[in-house]
Amino acid sequence: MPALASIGPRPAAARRLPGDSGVWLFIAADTFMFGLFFSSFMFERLKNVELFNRSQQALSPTVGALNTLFLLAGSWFVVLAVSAAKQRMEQAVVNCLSLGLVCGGAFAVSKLFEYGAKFAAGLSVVTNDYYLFYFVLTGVHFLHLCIGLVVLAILRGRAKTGVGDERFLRWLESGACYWHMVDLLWIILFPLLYLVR
Amino acid sequence: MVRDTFRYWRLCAWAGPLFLVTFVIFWGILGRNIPPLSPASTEAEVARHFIENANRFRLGFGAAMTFAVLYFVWTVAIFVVMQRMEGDNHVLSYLNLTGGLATVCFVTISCSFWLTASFRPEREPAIQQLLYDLGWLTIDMCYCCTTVQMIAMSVLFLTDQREEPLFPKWLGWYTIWVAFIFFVLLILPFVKTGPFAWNGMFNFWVAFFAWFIWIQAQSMFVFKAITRLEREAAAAEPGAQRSMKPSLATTR
Repeated sequence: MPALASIGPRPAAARRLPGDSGVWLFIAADTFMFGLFFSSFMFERLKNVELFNRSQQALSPTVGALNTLFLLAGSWFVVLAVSAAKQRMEQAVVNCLSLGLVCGGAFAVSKLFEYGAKFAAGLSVVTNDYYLFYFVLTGVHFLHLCIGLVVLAILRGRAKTGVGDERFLRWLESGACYWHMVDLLWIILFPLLYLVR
Repeated sequence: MVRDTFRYWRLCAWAGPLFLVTFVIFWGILGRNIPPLSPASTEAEVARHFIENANRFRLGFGAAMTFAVLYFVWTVAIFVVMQRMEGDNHVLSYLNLTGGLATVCFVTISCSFWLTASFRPEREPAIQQLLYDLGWLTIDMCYCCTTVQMIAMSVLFLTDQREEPLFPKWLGWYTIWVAFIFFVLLILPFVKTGPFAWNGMFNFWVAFFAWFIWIQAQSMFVFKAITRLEREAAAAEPGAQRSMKPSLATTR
């Protein structure tokens, strides 16, 4: 268990980036990986624009937009949680993280329904190149989201005792940065898969 | 006493860079696995691949199987450092140890498939293709052993309570990242061309080279960690009783 010795005013100029500085390396590496995903999607799309456009029509932009709203709302609650933690309002931290979890959970449930509908319609990863990318990109993103949900749940559990601990705040900020990355990646994924014509 | 202990640790840590060099030479260059044949290759193409390179492959894969053991030796160096860091709870260091051992097993087994194919290269082409497929599917799809090893390590590095952590935080985060990009391999059995195939950008170039870079980075910091632990143990030595159990004296 982390020692509580670090309570108190934080040392001046000790922190510039929110969260653990290493988490930014992870975010940079992950964003780079998704950058490669996006570029190879566009590259494959150029080879067969007609097929990609035709396949895309099976996707519902409305569901995608709803997903986007869930994630944006989730990010907002996580931001509120971080600022509540800075003011040591433990109940507010717990509540905001719970609402963030509900938003992320709503995204996960709607994605599962979306996958279910695709499988029911006989569409899968082997249908064509468009669906290969659709399932890989949304699948990898879904994995990120699930990890994010676990992280938020752990932080929520720790919030009751941890608020006021400098170390908790740093983990909360790291978790929040990660959650925003999941959000950001979806914001690029959504137009790329659902809207680009 | 103390010096001897750490000398062995350091020797084991050298196995990491040595593994990397020998693996690239024997498995990659002599074994012609950087880059591999496309999974879309025909039976005849795979058969010719083994007929034309039979002796080269016999040396390459035989030596690769021998030197793959270095990865296990290296894992033990990390294991002992992790044990010091963990104090009484050894679960993460054991996950690292078993993950590293399993990684060696599957790397070795996949090499044995390619070695079998080059042992009798005149064999029926369909069987040669089967062996080639077995090799690649084994080495790629057993990725999760390495993932377990990496996640155990990064959890320990990121929760290190020392004032100045024994391993840099960025290394922990990089390790987690590599551990997770391996999950893209799940798509590999479905495709024979493109970026997700076993010779494609993600499932070959990114996955293998991220792992290679990790081995090198991890090795560099294992040496640094051993030096620090050695210094701490030496500082604790004059008080004879404390040096008996340096793990308790130095972990907090």
